[in-house]
Amino acid sequence: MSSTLEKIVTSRFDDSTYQHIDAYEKSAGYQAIRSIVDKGVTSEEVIEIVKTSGLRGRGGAGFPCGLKWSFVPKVNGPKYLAVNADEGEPGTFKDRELMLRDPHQLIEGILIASYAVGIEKAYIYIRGEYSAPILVVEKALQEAYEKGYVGKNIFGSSFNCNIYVHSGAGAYICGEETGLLESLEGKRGHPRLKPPFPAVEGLYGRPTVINNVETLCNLPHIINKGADWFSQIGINEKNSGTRMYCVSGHVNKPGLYELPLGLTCEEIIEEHSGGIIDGKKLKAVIPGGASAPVLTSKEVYEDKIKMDFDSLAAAGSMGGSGGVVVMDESTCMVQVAARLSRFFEHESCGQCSVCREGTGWVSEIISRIERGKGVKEDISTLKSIDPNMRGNTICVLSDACAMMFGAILNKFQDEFEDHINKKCCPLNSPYSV
Amino acid sequence: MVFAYFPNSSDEEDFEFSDKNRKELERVVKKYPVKRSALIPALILVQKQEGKISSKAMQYLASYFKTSAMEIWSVVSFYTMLKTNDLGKFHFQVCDNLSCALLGAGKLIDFLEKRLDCPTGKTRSDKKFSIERVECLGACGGAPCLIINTDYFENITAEILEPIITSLEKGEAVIPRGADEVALNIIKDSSFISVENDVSDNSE
Repeated sequence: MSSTLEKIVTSRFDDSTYQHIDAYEKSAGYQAIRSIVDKGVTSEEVIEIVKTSGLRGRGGAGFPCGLKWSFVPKVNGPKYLAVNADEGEPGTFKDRELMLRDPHQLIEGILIASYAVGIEKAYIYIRGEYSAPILVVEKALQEAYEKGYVGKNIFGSSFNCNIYVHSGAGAYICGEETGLLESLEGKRGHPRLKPPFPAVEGLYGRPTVINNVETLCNLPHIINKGADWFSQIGINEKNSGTRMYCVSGHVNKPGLYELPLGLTCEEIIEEHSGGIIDGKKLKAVIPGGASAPVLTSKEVYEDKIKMDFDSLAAAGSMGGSGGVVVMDESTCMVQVAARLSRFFEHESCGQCSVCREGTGWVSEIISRIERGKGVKEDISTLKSIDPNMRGNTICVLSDACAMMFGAILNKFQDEFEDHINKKCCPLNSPYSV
Repeated sequence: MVFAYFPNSSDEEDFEFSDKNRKELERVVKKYPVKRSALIPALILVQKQEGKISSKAMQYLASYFKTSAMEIWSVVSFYTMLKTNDLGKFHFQVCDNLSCALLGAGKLIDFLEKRLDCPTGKTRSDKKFSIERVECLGACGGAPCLIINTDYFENITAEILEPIITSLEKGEAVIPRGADEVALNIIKDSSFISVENDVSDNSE
């Protein structure tokens, strides 16, 4: 397997002129979609290329992209693509930069996905806070429309595809596939019961593909350079390509690092992100956004856990959205659990009582422990809530909250006990929840 | 979860879109095969024009979308960015989620409350400033970060904020800080604007 640190989706990041179509075209831009349209490559062939590449969704679940497309039934009538740019998982900031720095790469990815699935309308659902990315993508779309790369009879063929930007209005749950569709239909972002899955019955009841921004941005490169090239990058054919690791927290060089799948968490922290601030020791790392169960210092430095989808799953965590939050030895893990529980409480849509009540009570109990008002039974109460919050709701927000606090409680139970015994926060962390 | 009641409409003026915004809404509605999909964009337009969404505006949209005002309210109350209360001319959204909190968002909020003489969650009585604690803004590499109206400011400290606030008080333009900088030319030159940077002008 390749050991070079080849950049794929961030390869044009150093030069801001790539926001404009001329510069993008000079850098092999729109060649991928042009070649498949000109050669009359069939949609099945495109899906096969993406399947062979091993590309998995970069939004959270890591579902194989080509397989997802193949679930869309071959029926007449409209089908839709919803681009998930509602980046809201705490610790994640990659899609914002992809849209700001290389919007045409995303547009070309959308065209390839639409061609493969037979879609003529795509909506880019961008979170409302992202005013600048919204403007940049709209400007790029205008350029692409003017050149005839988006719209009717693209490159003189029978392929039509309209792309629209749709702004969200501030709701984490709209990053959940079906919550996003509800929101796109002008409603509260309440996730839908599945099945039916969106591939069969999605937007306006029609077959719909929902892909993350980063996933789509990989497509032009896979078409240009081939599935084999892509599958050679990374650790194995099921964990191929690169990921944009969003490193934040207590590191010397926080930022975006596009790295091949399969590097260890230690390499990402020590070699790429400049190590821990002030030479302190690591306490914990969230490897894939707030929902991903936390890893301990031992798991990072002794077990040398790798940051690909399957290695993280085997370690009881997940690759999630690529948000890597690094916490040093001074961090109070009870505060972390309290803060993230409050997040899930705020973002619970309220449909399912298990989630609405569960996130609220978990937040209440952990905050109480943090304030030194906890009682011994709180720990067993939390442990009894955990399994009840998993697998019992319409979407996985409840599970995500349970995975988050369950892992922190299991791995740092002594800190919870310390708070309860000493009736205060013994670490006196520099921030309050 | 917050329980919210339909805002009182007794002392409100009737709502009407400006000609420009009505045309913009007509353009937006055409993007969708089902008109209702334009509801959130329409609400964002209302907020840009009025600074908030009044109950009269909800009634207006109810008739536009052929539904009830309560149905519109159910959507308004769901989304964090849709407001029924007056915001300041300069609205600060400060992230205090994990990455920002680890790097001092708490101290930043303390500083802002004192400097702006405005408690979090409130609008100052002269409606010049308001502060809101918000969930992750998706700029954690530049933590701690905040948004003033629509612009991102990353890697913020009290020392960096001080001259920015002074400029705002004097009515001078401030430029975003962080990844948004790469889009400055586009933000500035954009001739077709669906997200307008003019919340501040309308909320006075």
